[in-house]
Amino acid sequence: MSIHTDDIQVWQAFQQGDEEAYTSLYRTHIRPMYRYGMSLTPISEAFVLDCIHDVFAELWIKRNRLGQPENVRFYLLKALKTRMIHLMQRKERPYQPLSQVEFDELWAEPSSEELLSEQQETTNRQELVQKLISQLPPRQQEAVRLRFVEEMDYHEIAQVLDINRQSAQNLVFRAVEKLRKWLLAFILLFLNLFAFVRV
Amino acid sequence: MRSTYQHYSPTDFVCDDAFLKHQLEPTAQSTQGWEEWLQAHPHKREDWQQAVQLLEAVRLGLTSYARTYLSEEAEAYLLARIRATNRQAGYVEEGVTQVVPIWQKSWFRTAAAASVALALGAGLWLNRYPTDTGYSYREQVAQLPQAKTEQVNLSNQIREITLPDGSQVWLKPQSRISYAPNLGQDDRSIYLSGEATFEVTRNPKKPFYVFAGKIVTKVLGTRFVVKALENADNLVVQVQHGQVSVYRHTSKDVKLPRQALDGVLLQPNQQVIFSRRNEQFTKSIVEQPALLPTTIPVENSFVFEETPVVEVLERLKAAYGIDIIYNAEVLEDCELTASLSDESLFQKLEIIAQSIGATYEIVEGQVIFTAKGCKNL
Repeated sequence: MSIHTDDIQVWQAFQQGDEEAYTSLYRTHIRPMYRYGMSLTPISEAFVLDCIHDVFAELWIKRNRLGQPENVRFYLLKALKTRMIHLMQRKERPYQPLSQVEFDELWAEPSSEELLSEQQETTNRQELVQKLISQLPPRQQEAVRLRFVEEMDYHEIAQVLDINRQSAQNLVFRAVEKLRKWLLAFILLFLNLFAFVRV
Repeated sequence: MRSTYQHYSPTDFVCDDAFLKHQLEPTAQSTQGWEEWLQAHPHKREDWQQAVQLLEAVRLGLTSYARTYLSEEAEAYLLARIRATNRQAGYVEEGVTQVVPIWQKSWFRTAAAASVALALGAGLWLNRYPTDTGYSYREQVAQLPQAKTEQVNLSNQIREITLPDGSQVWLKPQSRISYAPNLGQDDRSIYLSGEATFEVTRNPKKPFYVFAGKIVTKVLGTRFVVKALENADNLVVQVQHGQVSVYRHTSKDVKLPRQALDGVLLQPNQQVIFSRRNEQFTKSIVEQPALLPTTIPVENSFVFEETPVVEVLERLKAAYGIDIIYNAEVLEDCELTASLSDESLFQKLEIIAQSIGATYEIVEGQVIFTAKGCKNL
């Protein structure tokens, strides 16, 4: 989205070999990298940590040859995903492959009965929306996370997901629209529980 | 403001850059802009309001994702690992960066606070729990010959996991387990950090092992809890039903213990506490013994009317699976009339003891019931 001047200064210091700046980059971005990595393959934390290690080690080695990314967080998340896919495709590790587009097509949309029974186990609003989001196809979930938590723009989301800008926008739109419909259904059914209208 | 906004649905608004930016970081300018636009288009106010609530709901649903984070120790540990790699590669040119005093760098202000936390974390990581050295979760898992599956519970709820052999694990928050992806084919070994309850499918040919710090818990088929919090003084194993044995983990390499040289056998409702400091086992009864699941809950099973106390104690023994030791001869003439259905085991024992002037104590996970006899009562 916007270019952060802090990020740029730290990046430039890092490129000149400043270890403190390098550490600061790590500190600033480790949390989004970790959560994003874990959301791609929650099965092995060790694997995600290894990949983060590789991304930072490579960054240090190549620091003289790197350009200035417009958005450092986007740059690091993309690098992490690339690294993870690379390792998994080389089959160095017996982990589940990332969810791919084909997987989306197999994704069955939950029926209203299923959603309803989900709701009965849910005690609060946060849990409910969380469960609804988990019912979305994996790529829509990923797009929504990148959009509303990592705050990437559509151009950046498109690059991370390796699709064009319009497709990225469509993914986010479809996800939000689906959530809106599901939530509306629940509001009608359980007015008391989900008082969306602020008093 | 764009003219197309007139045709926007709530979803369109949520997906719009300017709308999102305003909701996340409103400025005086954006507030004024939207307010003016809404006044000019009053029929869109409802959709706009819905969009605000929809965005709020979506972000609420992403809360647990947004809060996923590494522990400070793990964060510091990973940084140390990265630095070690960089040093090995010979790319750290020390001294070069010292030319500019650090406090003159503009980014230093924001970074300083967290660096302190990081340094503290690193120090703790290196110095804490020297007694687990060689046997910590990370070290044991790192030594495993084959790849392993790791399950981590980063949520704030207990997570239920079904293992490849059908056994169930209830993993507490901030806890993790590792095991071979083909668990059950060769052996059944699990590595634990944190706390978990296990319900193990019965397979006498392949015992189930839980490695936690310096202790190993061996089971054939049962339900039990292992508490191995990284920052706690003690490791605890509690049995709910079945039988388990707990040993000290002696061999340096991660192999299954062959014999129970230095271990304890646990019955239901018993627990063992292993002190990390002096490496001693202490066997006792769990705080709140539960009725065994095999006991058929018969109405009035703890309602006694002039029942011989020996029979009362035998009934408790069977119901809780806990050994109660008493002298039957001394208790020969003792009888009890009481309704003890709602009391806990210890309350029941207290009432029985008081009614016949007896005492009880718990030694090594057993109840020793001492009476003077009832001939004179």
